[in-house]
Amino acid sequence: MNSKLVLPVKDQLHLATNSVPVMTWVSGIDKLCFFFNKSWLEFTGRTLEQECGEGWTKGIHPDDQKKWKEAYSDSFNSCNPFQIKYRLKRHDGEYKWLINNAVPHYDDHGHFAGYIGSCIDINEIAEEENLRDEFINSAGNELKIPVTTIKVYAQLLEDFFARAGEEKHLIFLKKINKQVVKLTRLINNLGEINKIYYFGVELNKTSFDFNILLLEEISRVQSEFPKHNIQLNGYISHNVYGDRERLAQAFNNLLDNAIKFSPDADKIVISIEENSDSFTVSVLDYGIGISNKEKDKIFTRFYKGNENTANTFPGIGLGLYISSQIIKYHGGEIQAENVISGSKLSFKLPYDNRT
Amino acid sequence: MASKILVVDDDTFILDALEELLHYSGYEVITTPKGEEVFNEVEKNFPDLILLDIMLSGTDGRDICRLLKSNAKTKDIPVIMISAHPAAYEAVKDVGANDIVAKPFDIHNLLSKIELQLSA
Repeated sequence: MNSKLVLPVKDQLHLATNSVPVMTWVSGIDKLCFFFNKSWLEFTGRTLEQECGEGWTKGIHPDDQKKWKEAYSDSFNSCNPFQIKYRLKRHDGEYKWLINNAVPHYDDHGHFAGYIGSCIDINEIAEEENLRDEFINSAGNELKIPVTTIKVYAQLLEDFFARAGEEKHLIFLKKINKQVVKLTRLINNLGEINKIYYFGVELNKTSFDFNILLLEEISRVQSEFPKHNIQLNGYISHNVYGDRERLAQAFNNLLDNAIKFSPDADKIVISIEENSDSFTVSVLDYGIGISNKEKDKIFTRFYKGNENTANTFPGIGLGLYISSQIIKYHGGEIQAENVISGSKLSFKLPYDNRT
Repeated sequence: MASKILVVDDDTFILDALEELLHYSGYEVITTPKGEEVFNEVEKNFPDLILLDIMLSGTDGRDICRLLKSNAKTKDIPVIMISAHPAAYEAVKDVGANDIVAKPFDIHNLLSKIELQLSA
């Protein structure tokens, strides 16, 4: 046997992957796929020639095309492994959910040369997830009807009592209204979570003064939680181009989080740091802090803290996930750190990411 | 004279609440829970503004809005759509709606949107 026999790459790939049941593809540095294994071709019912290049992407469900394209080209910039779920058309015309794990492969010189992807059929799990998502959406919509009615009457009553000068009743109504606002936020978060997860964050960008946004949100949260003294240090000297409402939502969730996890503290410190093309806003609390293990998890969907905190600090684990996505879609970064006093959550945003 | 507002929502609790609110705020109010009744009501009462829910049982509020906006007689009546989704602005732009509020709305926000349309 000749031990120096070197098979062409495609043949090596055939040998290595054709015997496994996992669907496999390989792409080159030009982003185009040049190999699909037997399991893949059996699934799609197409030939290697038809699938190669960008041919196979015709089989991706129309609703998943954008998600795939973005994840794939983002990964080419970072050269990191990535995972994505999408629906692919099977040979009988039916779309099936797949989970695709892709890892980078390298040439002889160690340079990034494209991706090797492997896909597993997760249709059963995905269908259950879809049912859950549909349930979340319709529950959110149904909840809005009674809440809308309660809100209209409660606000009307607040108005009546304010005019009549009935201070005591007015206080009750104000308390109801505050809770209705909270309920509204929870319901909206519920409705949004899936939309953001599958389709990303829709942004309506304008150029605005971020300092005013910060002051508005701080004063809103401050009036709701007077015990914490919220300090703001620093100033943003450029206008920011972004979705004002969304960024306010992102910041507000960070503030809420800081208050929630520092029940015994009496202050929160917001600091601003400026760089040449970006700025960082950090929210420092004097609360229970965050473990190293949790630092990355807190920005994931439905994460509610570890077993101890989940019981002490109830919530549904949506706020920080939504914040992280809003920041991400503005081309920014979000992170959590454990500091001596408690925890520090911060986000970095470009002033304008159009260029 | 008080401005006349037609409110269309298939949920009678919301319809009642909006009727009370608008009465209290000094408007004349006509209500209907049925999307298909909108055209009759418009013909009969000629409202100054229409508050129209997007999700009506049996009909899509956006289709009604499109029809209102394509008819020379009704196209100038401002329509404010009521949506269950906070970010549905894109969805109503192309049907010609003048504005949108998301459930559960703030009454002061709704009233100022109504005033803005009526004074335009």
